[in-house]
Amino acid sequence: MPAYAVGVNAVQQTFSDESITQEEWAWVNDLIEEVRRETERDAFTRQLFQWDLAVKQFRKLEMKRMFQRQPTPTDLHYHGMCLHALLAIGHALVIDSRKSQAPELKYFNIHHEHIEAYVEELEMSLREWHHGFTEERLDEVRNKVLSSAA
Amino acid sequence: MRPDYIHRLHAAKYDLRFCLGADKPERLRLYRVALETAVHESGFTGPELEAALRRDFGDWMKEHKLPKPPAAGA
Repeated sequence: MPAYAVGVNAVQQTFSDESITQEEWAWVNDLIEEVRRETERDAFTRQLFQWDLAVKQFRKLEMKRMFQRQPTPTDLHYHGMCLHALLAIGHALVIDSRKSQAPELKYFNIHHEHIEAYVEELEMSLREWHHGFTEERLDEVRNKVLSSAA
Repeated sequence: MRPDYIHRLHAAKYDLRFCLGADKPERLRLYRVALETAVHESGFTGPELEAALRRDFGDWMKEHKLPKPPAAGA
């Protein structure tokens, strides 16, 4: 083989190797990206189900301590603290559910409207138990409303 | 003695609280309609009614001997 042909082959080989190297890196990079997305989706789904479990336990205790008896100041304190914590996670889940559209959510037939409704229900509890109204005002409302049917 | 619109408001809240997750958006819509009606009928604001009647909801549940909440999923 003439000397110039050896040089041309070497250049072609270099370009070819360069191209393959880039494809390989791109493939590995795509793989890492896919792992990252799956990890995010898994984390989102796991957090959603754990949050749902926490909401259920909160509701059970709320029913027992707040509705079936007169809540103590300690009950009210923890009720408010738990509500704020659940709402903070719930609002973050609503945002994540809007942007991710995770296949896992579709698999479990969950839509972000369901999560929004759960969060709104928690907001409702906040309005019921942790508000700025005086007891006198609430007595006035109760007395007028509950005597209006007579 | 509760007026009918309060019965309906408590019933809507019960349905919202204890329904399955997939039904929540529709139950929430119905609760908002019931609350709007109660606001119109009573002349008080929604937050005032929600705060003032929270204990009455518990009494209403006991009076109607409603079952305890089933496990509801999101």
